[in-house]
Amino acid sequence: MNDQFDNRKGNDQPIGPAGAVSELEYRRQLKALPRELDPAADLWPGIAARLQAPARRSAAPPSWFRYALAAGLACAALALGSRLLPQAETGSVLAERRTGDAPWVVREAELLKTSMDAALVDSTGISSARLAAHPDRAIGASLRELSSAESELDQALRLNPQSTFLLDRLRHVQQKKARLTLRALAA
Amino acid sequence: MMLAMTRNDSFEPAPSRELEQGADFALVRQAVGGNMAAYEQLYRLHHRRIFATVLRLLGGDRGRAEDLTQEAFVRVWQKLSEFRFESAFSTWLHRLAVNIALMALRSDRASPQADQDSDDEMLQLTARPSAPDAQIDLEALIPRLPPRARAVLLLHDVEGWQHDEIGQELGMAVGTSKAQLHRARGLLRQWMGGNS
Repeated sequence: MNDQFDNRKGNDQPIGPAGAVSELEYRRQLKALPRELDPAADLWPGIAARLQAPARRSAAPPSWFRYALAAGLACAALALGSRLLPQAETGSVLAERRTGDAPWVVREAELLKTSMDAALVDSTGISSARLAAHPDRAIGASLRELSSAESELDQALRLNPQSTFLLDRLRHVQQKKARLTLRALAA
Repeated sequence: MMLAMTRNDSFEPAPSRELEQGADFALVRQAVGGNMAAYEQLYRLHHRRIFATVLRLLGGDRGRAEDLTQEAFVRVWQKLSEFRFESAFSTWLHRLAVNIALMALRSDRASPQADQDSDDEMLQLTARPSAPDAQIDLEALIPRLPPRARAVLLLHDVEGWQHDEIGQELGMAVGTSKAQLHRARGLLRQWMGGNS
């Protein structure tokens, strides 16, 4: 903790606006703040799952649809990039960000979602809805939960159309969904 | 960049710190070699402090703080090979977690609804009545500060950062950091006294 308070450090008289607590009382409460707090749930299982994900992918036997899906997702990403690039070059995206006239973040989110879904169908012939009814109940439930999170983030983005944080979260959810989709297809 | 002295560093006796640091280093070496159990031990040792810091920086949003705490430990795992054993692991970890929380705050500021609290007006607006007749707990009042003022106050008064470090991380001049700190402290002391 920094002890660089002003020169009146140690003076237990109220300083500043009337009714404010003294600096000493402020410092006392500051020191009393707990250094550690517990999250509501154990976060380790979620962390471990994210750390193990790449190892699991490489350990799984290769199969045609994994490559097909990867190729499809890559095409989707390229398509998304090519649709956004000309706007970036003309500076219109920057203008939109400044004026807020067009929700570029929302548009990017929509492109991201539709491209991912289309890539899945193109590559495997399986829709995300069908995958959510996967016979492995855990995988099906997780996919449904991720789809639900995706929808909630989508709605939140419409309320906060320039929130890059929400867009980042959406990308994160979609990455998880893509990883789980690969597992579902391999199962 | 000079690493910040933390509360952890400030208040624990030196022998205890050295022992902990030695234990951390041993675990880090094992984790760098891919030992997940060792990394879990590091997580168990440090996650409460990381969570507390991130939670306060985010203004008490527990769900988001949990997400970002997870994110911090994932990123640290990915960067473990970059750790040079020149500072305490806890300091390095803590710094990275703070950066992640500050990035989240910065991305919030890009949204139209975000708190534009860099000017004086916002600080004045937030000086609204909280409780008329009782002193209020500091922990409950910190989230009421505007995000940037809150970040400056927490980083300086709680985490022990210097103004130049804060200015660098938050993209503000040293003078602005000092001004934000002065006003944030003033607001808190007013609110603690039950004043509007």
